[in-house]
Amino acid sequence: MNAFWREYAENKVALAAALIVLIIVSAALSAPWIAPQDPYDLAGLNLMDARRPPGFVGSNGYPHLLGTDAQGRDLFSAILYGLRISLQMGVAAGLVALSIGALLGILAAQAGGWIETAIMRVVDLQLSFPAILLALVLVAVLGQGKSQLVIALVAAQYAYFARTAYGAASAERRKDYVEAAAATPLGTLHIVFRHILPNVLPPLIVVATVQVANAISLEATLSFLGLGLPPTEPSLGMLIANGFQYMMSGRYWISVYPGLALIVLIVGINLVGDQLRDQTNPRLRR
Amino acid sequence: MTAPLLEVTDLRTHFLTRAGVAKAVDGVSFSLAPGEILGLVGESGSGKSVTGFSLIGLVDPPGRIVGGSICFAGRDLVGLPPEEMRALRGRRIAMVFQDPQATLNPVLTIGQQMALALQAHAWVSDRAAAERAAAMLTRVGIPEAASRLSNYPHEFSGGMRQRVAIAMALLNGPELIVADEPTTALDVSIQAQILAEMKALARESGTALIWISHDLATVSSLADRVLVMYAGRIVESGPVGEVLRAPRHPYTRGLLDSLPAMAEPGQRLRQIPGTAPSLLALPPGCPFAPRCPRADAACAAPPPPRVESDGRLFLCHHPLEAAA
Amino acid sequence: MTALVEARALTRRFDPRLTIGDRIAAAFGATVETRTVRAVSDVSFAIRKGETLGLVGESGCGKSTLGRMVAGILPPSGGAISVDGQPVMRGGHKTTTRIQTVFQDPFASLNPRRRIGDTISEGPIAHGLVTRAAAPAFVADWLTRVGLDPAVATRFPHQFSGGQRQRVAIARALAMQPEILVCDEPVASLDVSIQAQILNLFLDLRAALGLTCLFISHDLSVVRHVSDRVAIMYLGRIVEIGAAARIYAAPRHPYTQALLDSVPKLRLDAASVAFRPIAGELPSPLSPPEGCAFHPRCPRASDLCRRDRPVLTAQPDGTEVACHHA
Repeated sequence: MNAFWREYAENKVALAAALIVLIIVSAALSAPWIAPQDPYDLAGLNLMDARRPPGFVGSNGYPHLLGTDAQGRDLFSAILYGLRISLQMGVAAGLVALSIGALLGILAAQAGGWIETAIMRVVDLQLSFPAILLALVLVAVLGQGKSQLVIALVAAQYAYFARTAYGAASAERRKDYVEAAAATPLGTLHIVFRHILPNVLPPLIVVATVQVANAISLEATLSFLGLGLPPTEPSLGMLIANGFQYMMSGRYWISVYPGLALIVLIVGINLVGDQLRDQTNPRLRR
Repeated sequence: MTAPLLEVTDLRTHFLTRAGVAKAVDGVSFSLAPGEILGLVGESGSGKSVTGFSLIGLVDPPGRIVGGSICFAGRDLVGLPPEEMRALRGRRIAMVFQDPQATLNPVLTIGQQMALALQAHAWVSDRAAAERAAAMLTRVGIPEAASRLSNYPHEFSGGMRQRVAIAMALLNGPELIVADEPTTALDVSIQAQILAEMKALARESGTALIWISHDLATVSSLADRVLVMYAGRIVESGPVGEVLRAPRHPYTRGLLDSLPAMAEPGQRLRQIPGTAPSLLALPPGCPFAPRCPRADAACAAPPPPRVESDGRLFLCHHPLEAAA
Repeated sequence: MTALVEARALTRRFDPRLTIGDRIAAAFGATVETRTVRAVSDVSFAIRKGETLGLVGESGCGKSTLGRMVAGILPPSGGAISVDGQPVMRGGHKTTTRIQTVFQDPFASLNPRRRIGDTISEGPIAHGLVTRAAAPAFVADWLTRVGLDPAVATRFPHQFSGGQRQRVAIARALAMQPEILVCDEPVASLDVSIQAQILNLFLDLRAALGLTCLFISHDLSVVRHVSDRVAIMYLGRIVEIGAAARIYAAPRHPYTQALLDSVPKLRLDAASVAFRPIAGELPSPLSPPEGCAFHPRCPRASDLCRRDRPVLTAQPDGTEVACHHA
């Protein structure tokens, strides 16, 4: 394990990306303690402070580092809380999609026959269908709310996990150690959970990092379009949408800073995911 | 005695890895006369393949030739500029690998590849190239060679593919062929065919051959001389029959005794205990001492002496008796 | 002597799996391989208790497929394999623990993410041969018996050399307390000196435990060393089977003769060697020749061989040979 991290640290870009992701995640987690303002507490907002540029010292007596939005919300605080929600959605959707996808993928590989065909054709169909479109339709049908959004994100993403799990499981179950377990004999469930699953998990975790980033951007897109979360819980996408109308009037900060936070987070997670993928790819191993 | 074609002196190829310096080849010296077949025998990690790759200048990083010289037809190949090495390789020195896929391009026909190999080193017309390619394929035992020039590598069976790789190696009439376990992946019946053809080709064309193998039996029936490698060093060398009949180094003896053919069926084999030492931490004395039945205190400290007489050579403090 | 393991008319076909894409391509006239491969055809043999049967042949002859059927990994398409009259497989699943297997590649046959102690004990725990509480002592005992330090039980496979891994694989198989061991090329991937160590371990444990074995290898000298009887396979069928000493001394089937002739022997004299290779190439198992499968390469082939397939026939000396001209 140590050697794994030492090798990881040799890629300076990936190391910096991991640090940035770590800082963003811990800042988002500790938002209630480090944010100067609770953006959900409408009573604490003052319309006099609305649309002020970065650095403005408002009626509460502290400077708004990144300015304020149309309701007079401190943008720095709003971004921290927005990141929190975005990460929550991304990680929740990623984990559920991972579990469902892994289960379906391994089931398809193990069962074979018509079960395999049925599962994998549906997965292929979904992979050829734009994820955003599917999520849009689902959100429109299910309505707004955190759990509805997670369902939409999972439905749009489980196919990636299923495909990866299917590929990895098909490769693993042909290996001698699985045959050896079958020749002992050990039960099918025992073989699946004790032998195949632990060996399928590493590639899935790599996919999961990238898919968490995708879920976050998908959620931001939906929220930007006003279909994601209710306005009482503004995620990054909604912050960007809220500031969008002021872009042309010079009040760039309302959209640009949440947008930057989103980009940095997504690029950071993707860089971490790339390095993990390279490191777990036996063909690139020295 | 003719002048040697190849003279390797104190060759050292080391791998600078994360865990330290692996001395894969550590002070290997030997020479090879034109037309001679030399068997290079050892187990995995003995440095036999790295020696072969060093000769043709194909040691990949983190491996590096850190010392010694490889004198081929009067020129030292160590430190030769890459482009000169490339010009030499394929024309005067050729290599045959265990896996013929390593030399064959899957998207070109055999005829195209052979023409490219010919035209890389001299101006040859396409028609002449095809003729020479077909002639060479016939020589290595491929039936209907002319019509098979338009086939892709995957259209040949494993044994046939290895013959094609050998034909490619022979195409420019090299003076030296380095063959690394070329028949290990093949079935015995195919192996026998290729051994027979290689031997005949070396005898007819005067090409020198270095045959790298773990298999004492193939080497014994093919080679003139044998080098036995252990932990990056040559521990014994000499005419193949003499070395195998009366080995002087305990490792050679142990290797022979490990063969099932040397024991009565069903009886225990006289095994060598233990495993080969790590190339990262070789003992200061004889590397075989920890597994050697004859080892004593003397073997632990200074490296064993190099004893040379009558074309035989061995490095051992306590050599076995010479044959009567 | 009664037969402990009995194979009756074992056959294994492999049908090509056609994907939707293949079917569409075939409908448009593309050449899609639809022929069935018969990897093993109508093979019958018996192994007596305490005996080792060696199974030899070149790659693609079906010896591994046969071994996997005997080991209960692959269900036969036809025929049956039984131990003491009980079938090894039922409904595609292995039902007995009396047969265990040692695989060729000790790098692939051990789960890379399991500690070797767990690998050795999981079968015996699952089948109630040992309790979870007693497992550590049980594992230590088996590691000692295969010549490993009991302290290595908590290590992972990548921390071992090839020879050590094969010892672990042997311990895993024997910890199930089988009567029969199927060894599929157990020393093929090992160095000469390590191969000798593993063969010695095999001989020792076989004697100590009174094992009955099916020993599969392409290496004729290894098979000669460990086997009481030998079966030679060519294109999915046994062409000759009998006492090892007899077959090696006087092979009767032309293929056995050619195979033995083509093996490079260790030459201790300086005399030049004439290799005697088998003419021609192994035919594709997709379209095996009519009649005797060996006839295109056989020096003794006649019209009869081209027309009728010879069946295994007992000879006066007890060996069985499938050849019209034996």
